[in-house]
Amino acid sequence: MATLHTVNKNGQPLELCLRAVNKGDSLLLIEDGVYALFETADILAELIRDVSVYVLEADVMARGVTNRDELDIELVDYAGFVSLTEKNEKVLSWF
Amino acid sequence: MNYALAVYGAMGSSQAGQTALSFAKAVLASGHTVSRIFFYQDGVQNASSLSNPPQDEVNLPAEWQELVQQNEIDAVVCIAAALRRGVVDADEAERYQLPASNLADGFQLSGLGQLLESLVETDRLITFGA
Repeated sequence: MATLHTVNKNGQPLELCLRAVNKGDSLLLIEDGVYALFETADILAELIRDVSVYVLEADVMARGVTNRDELDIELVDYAGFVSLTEKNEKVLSWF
Repeated sequence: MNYALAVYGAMGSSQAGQTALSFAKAVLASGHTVSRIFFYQDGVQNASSLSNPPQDEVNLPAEWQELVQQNEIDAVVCIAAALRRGVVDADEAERYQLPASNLADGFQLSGLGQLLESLVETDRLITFGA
């Protein structure tokens, strides 16, 4: 049973999420959580081996962050967010 | 599928309300149902009819009101969280002899049981934290 994890900021929410995430789960970075692309790119680089990582396009655009390290991370819009909640039976929000 | 949303953040100090609103619109556009939106903790501010931001900014309570009324969504505001933050309906204003009430039309005050019911009865409960 796969779970979608949403993370809306770095620091403790992301750290707690990383402890709870399982292989095959998905992680969606939203709001200030998209700064992980800069601040914790090294952790994401390791994470994407087992977990599909996504970032919410509107929040990326609003903050001007980029996928600087060209990680295999997909940009999704709100329809994509909905789609992720369809595919995963459980949704956990870390905030 | 049937969705419920929980909103924990107030406009002004959190993006939760805006994110939840955009998500709710996308859920409906995808052909799903949103049966309930539960406003909890600072999120109760989303139900204030007295919020009046500058005209070039989004008036989130007004946007929520339009969405819930047009789509017949049950918009529930946690009564305990609301009372301590000064979001009250006419009944509560009278009960506590307050000088005014400000719960926007389309919202109703109720308890945490409604959140639990959503968790049990809907296909997805998505939480938007502060």
